[in-house]
Amino acid sequence: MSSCIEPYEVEVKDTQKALVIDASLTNLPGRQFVKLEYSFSLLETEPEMASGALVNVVDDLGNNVLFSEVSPGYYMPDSSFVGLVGRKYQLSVQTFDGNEYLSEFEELLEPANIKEIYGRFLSLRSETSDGFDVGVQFLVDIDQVDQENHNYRFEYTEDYEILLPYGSMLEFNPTTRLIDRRNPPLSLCYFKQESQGLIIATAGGQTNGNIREFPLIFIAENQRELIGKYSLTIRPYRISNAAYQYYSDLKENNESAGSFFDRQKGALIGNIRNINDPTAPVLGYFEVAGVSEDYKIFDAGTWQDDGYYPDLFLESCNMRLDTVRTADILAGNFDFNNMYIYNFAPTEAIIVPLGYNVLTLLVPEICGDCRYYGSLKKPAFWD
Amino acid sequence: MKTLLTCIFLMLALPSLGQEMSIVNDSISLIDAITQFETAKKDLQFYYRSEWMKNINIHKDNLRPELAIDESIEVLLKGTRLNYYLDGQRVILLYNTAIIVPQMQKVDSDQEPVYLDQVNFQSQSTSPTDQRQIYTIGNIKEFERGKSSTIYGTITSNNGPVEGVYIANKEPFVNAISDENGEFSITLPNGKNELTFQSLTTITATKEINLFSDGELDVILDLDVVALEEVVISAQREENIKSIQMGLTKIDPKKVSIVPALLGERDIIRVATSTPGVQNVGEGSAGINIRGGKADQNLFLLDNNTVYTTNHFFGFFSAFNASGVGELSLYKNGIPAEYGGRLSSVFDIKTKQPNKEKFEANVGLGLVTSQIQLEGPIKGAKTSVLLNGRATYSQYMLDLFKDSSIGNNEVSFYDFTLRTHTQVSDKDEFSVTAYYSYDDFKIKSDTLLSFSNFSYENKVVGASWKHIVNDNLFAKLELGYSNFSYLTSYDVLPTQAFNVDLYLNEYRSALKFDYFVNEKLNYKFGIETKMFSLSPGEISPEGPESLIENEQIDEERAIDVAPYFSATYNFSDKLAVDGGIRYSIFNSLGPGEYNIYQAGQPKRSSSIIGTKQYETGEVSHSNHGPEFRFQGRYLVGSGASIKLGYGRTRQNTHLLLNAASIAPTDVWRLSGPFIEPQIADQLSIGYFKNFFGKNLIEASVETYYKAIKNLVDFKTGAELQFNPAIETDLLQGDGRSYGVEFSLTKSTGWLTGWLNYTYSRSFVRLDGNQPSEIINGGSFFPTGYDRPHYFNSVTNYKFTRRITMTLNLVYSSGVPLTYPVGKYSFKSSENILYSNRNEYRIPSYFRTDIGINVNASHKLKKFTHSSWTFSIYNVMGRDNIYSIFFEVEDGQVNGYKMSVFPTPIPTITYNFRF
Repeated sequence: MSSCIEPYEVEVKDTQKALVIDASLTNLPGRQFVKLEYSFSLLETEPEMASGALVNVVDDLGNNVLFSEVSPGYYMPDSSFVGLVGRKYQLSVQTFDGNEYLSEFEELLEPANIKEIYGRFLSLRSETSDGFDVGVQFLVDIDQVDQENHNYRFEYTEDYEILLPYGSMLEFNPTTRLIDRRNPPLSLCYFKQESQGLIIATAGGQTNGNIREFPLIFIAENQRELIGKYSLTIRPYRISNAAYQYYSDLKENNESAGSFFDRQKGALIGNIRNINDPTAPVLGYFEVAGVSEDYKIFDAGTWQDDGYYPDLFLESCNMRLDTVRTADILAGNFDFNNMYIYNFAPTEAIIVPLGYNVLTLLVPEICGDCRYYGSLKKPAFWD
Repeated sequence: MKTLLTCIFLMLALPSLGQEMSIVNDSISLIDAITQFETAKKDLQFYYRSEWMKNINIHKDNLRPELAIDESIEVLLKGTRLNYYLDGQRVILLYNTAIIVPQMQKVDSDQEPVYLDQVNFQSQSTSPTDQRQIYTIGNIKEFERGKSSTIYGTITSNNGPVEGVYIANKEPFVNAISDENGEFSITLPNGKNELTFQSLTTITATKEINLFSDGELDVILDLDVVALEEVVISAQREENIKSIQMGLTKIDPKKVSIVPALLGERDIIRVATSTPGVQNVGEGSAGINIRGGKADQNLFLLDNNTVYTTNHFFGFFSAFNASGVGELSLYKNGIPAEYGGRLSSVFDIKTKQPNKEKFEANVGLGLVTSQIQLEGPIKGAKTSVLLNGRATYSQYMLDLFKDSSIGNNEVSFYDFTLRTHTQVSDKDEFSVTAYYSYDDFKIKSDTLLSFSNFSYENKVVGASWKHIVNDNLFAKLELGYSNFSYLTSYDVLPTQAFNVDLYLNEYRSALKFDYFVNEKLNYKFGIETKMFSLSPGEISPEGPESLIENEQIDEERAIDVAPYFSATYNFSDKLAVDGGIRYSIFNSLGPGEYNIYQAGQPKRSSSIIGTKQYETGEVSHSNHGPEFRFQGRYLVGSGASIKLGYGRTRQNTHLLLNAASIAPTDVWRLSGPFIEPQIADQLSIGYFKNFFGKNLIEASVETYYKAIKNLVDFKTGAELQFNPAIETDLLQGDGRSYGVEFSLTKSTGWLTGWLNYTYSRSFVRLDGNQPSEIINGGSFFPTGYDRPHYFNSVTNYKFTRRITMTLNLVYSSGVPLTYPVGKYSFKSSENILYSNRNEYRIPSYFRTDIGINVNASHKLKKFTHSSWTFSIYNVMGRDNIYSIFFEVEDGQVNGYKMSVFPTPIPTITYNFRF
C-alpha cells in the first residue's frame, strides 16, 4: 500500500493583503525595531514593505518615543533608547493609507537567569526515517526569575570554525613572482549563523519555574559545525503569557500533526488592533521583553570521551597533481580552473623561485578555500 | 424458493396452566379435590384429560360437595379454565371450551352463541403447517361481549426472544411492538381478531384468535431460512408508514453482514451511516454527524447505559462487536422522552438475548481480528448467558498503516461483552450487561502533542429488573455504571516524561413504567438520574528524572435528574400522536474553584481577578428546563402516511473536539459556570409511501430544521488537552441546520437494497464580545462537518440461495476547510495567512465496495453453519482525500493531502457456528 500522505498542490485562491507588524522592545541597546510589511500571495517571494508610516511608543508614564524609518518598512528609535524593566509600553502605528493601529500596554519583564548552556552527544529517534539521528544536542537551563512568568522566546548565534584539511597553504605571489606560503592559510575560517524562526519554551506546569534541558539545537555528527571549535550565544526573551500563547498558536498554525490531531486553523488575534476597523485582521505582535545574553565555547574534541570523533574529511576532493611553472602563471598560460594550490607534492613546502618546474597538488575550491564557507575573521569574544 | 420462504412455523405454546393461580397454603390440587369430591359423592364420575389437571390448584374452601351438584361443580372449577358438561352421573370436564346447548342459549339469549365447531379442541396440538388455526385466549367463563381484553406474551425464535416484532390487528387496527425481551401486550375487543406478526428476521405470520378474556399468547416465530443471512432489509414493511415514530432507523446486526465490511470487520455503526440523514465525518473516523449535529451529540446506549467512546483505533473500527448486538435503533428526531442528554440522536443498542434453548458457539476468523461468542442456558432454562470477545491478532493492519502518519510500532485492541438473562418468575426478569473495551497504540512522532503512547478503555456494567405489575402496567428498574478513561504518555526526554490521564464516571439509575390504559392509549413515565464525576486531566511525572509537576484539573461533579412522561394516543385508525415531556435538572456540585474574570475583558489568564470556592456537595451552578417531544402520524390513503415531529433536547456533557476525527485525546467536560447547556429544537415533517403491490418499494422524504443554542466551538488554535481554564479557549454560539432526506428501499426479491440522498446544511455563528471571540466577523458560517450532498446505496443481488453479491456506493461533498490565502513573515519565520474559517472545501468523496457472501450450507439442522465473505473496500482505488493540511517548510507553504485507503482493500472472513 502506498503512502497515505502525499503532497497536495496548493492552489492559489483569493489573496488577502493585511498589515504585518513585527515589533520588539527590549532592555538591550540596539534591539528596538518595528518592521511593517504586508502579507503576500503564495506565488510571490518578496513582501511589499509598508513605508511612510508614523510609528511611536508610549510608556505608562506618558513618555513618547518616535521610531523613524531607517530602510523601507523598517523603523528604529534613537540608538540610545532602551526599555526599562517594570515599565509598560504601547505601540502606535499610523500607516500611509491612514489606518491606525494601537497595541495593548505590555510590561517589560525582568530578563531571564541563564544557568547553563551545554551539549550532549546522543542519538535521537529520527523524525524523517525509522532510524536514529546521532549528534550533539545543545541544551539550555534557565532559572526562574519569579513565580509568575516562565515563558521565553529564544534567539541564538552560532560561531564555529571551518576546518579544511586541504585548505590552500600556497599561492602565487605576483609581486615577488614566487609560489609562496599563504598567511593565513585557507584551512581555518569562522562562520556566524543567527537562529531562524520562532523558538519558544515555557516552564509552566513544572515543579518550579526553571527550564531544564531545553533542547535548543541538534547538530548531526557529520555536520561541519562540530569539527572544530563551536560557540553558542543565546538570548532568551522573557515574554508575557499572552505572547507565549500567541507564538505557540502561530507555530501550530504553520505546522501540522498529520491531520488526526490538527487544531483549528485561522486568523490569530494578537495584541494589536486596527482602530478604524476592529474586525480587520492585524498580523503580528508587539513584543516587549527583558533580554539577557550568555555564551559558551566548546573546544574541538569536547565530546570525545562520549565517543564522538568528528570526521575531518567531509567532502571528496578531486585533487589534481600538476606541474606548475611560475613563468606560465605569470604569462597567463596556466589554467588553475578554479583550483587552489594545496602544497607541493611530495616534498615539504618550499619557496619556489622563477624558472623551475614544480609538481604541485591542486585542490578544488570546496576543499581548498575555507572562505567558501565562512570568513577569516575570528569572533571577537573568542580571545 | 417461495415455498421455502413461506414455510412458516408458528407455534402457539400451550398456556401454562399453573400461571393462572397463585399458590397459597390453603390450596389443594385439583386432582386431589376431584378425588375427594368423588369420595363424597360416590355416584358421580369425572372424565378429563390428566394434562389439564397438571399444576392446577384450587382453594380448599371451594371443595364443597355438600352443595347441589351444579353449584358444587361450578365452585370447584371456579377460577380455572375448565368447564363441565353434566351427562347424567358423568361429569365431563372440558378445557376452555363451552358446550352450548339449546337450554343454555335461552339463559344467555343476548349473547352470540358459540358453536362447537368454532371451539378449538386441538389447541394443544397445533400443527405447524396449519395456518387456518384459530387460537383461543383467556377463560371463556370470563367472556364479556363488547368489552376488551389484553393479550400479553413473549415472541421467540430459535435465537431467543425477538425484539421489534410489529404486531397488528386487522380490524380494528391496533398495533404493538415487542420489547427487547420479546414481550408484548396488546388490548383488543373480545371475540374474533386477526393478528399479524412481522419482524426483520422472522417470517411474517398471521393468526386468527378467539379472545375470551385477558390471557397469554406465547408465539414462536420461525427464522426465515434464507433470511438468516441475506434477506436482511425485509424489515419494516408497513411499519414505515404506520409507526408513529419518525426519524427512527432500526438496524439488525444481520443487515451488517451483507454490507461490505472494512477490513472484514462487521460494523453496526458503519451500517447505520448508510441510512438517510447520517453522515460519517470521514474514512477511518468514528465521528458521526446526524442531521447537522456535532459528533458528540449522539447518545450511544448499550442496554440503556452510556458508552462514551464508540470506536477502536481512531474510529477505524466500531467498539461494538456486531455479533453480540441484538438490535440497534437510531432516533434522529422525536427521541422518546425516556432518553435525554444529547442533542442529535440516540443509538439505542441492545445486546443479544442469550439463547435459552441450547448452547451455541460462533467463531469468526478475519484478517484483523478474531472473535468467539458463546451462549446458552445454565442450570435449567431460567438463566442464560452470552459471552463474546474479540481481539486483534495479526500484523495485517499494521502493514496497511506503516507509511501513514499514524504509522506506529504497535497497536492492539480488544473488547468483551457479557449478557445474562434470568426469568426469576412469571412476572419478573433480571438481566445484567457488562462490557469492556481496551485500545493501546503508539504513534511514532507526533511533535505537536508530544505524546507517544495512547491507551483508552470503556467499562459499562448495567443491571435491569423488569416486573409485570399487572396486565396493563410494566415496571423496570435500571442501574448502571459507565466509565471512560484514557492515558497518554511521553517518554522521549527523561526530564520531560509525563503521563496524562482522564476519566469520566457516570452512575445511572432509572425507574420506568409502561402503562397500557387501553388499546388506544399508552402512558410511559419514570425518572432517570445520572451522577457524573469527571477528571478533565491529571498530569504526572514519569520516571525518577522527570521534572514534570503532578497537577490535576479539578474533578467536575454533577447530578442530572430527569423525570419524564409521555402518552401515545390513537385517535382513529388514521391519526395517532405521541407527546411527552422530559424535565432535566442539572446541578454542578462542589468541591471546586472557579476563576473570576475582569468584566469587559477577554477570558484569559491575565484577566483573572480572583477565584470562587465551592464546598463539597455545594451546588455551584444549576440549569434546568423542559424538553418537549411530539410526533404525530396521519395515514393518507392506503400505504402512505404523513408524519410530523418536534423535539427539544438538552446536553450537559460536552466533548471538546476541534479536529476532524474523534481522537482519544479529546476531553469531556460538564456544563457549569463557564459552559452553558447546549439546547436544540428540531422540527421535521415526512411523507412515507409504499409502492407496487405488496410493499415492494418503500419511499420516504423527510425534511427538518434544527436550531441549536450554545453550540460549543473554539478559538483558533485552542488548547483542549489539559487546560485548567478551558473557558479561555471555548466559544459558544448559535447553530442552525436544515435538510431534506430522500430514501428508497426494496426489500423483497432477488434484487434488494436501498438508496438515499440527503441535502443538508449546518452552520454556526460565533459572535462574542471580544475580538478573539468573534469568528468570521460574527456571521453564520459552515461547521466543520457541513456536507451539503450525501448519497449512498446498497444493492444486494442474490444469484442463488447461497451466493449473494453486494454493491455499496457512497458519495459526499467534501468537508469545509480553512485554506491559505497568503503568507507573511514574522520573527524570521514564514507564516500562513488563512482564509475565513471553513471558507473552502476539500474535494468530494466517492467510494465503491463490493462483497460476495457464500453460505456453505443453508440446511437448518446441520451441525455447523459456515459462511465465507469476500469483500473489496474501495474497489476503484479512488484516492479519496480525508483531509488537507498545510505546513511551512523552509519558508514555503506546502500542502499535503491525506487519504486513508487510497487502494482497494480485499479481505476475507470465515465464520462458523455450531
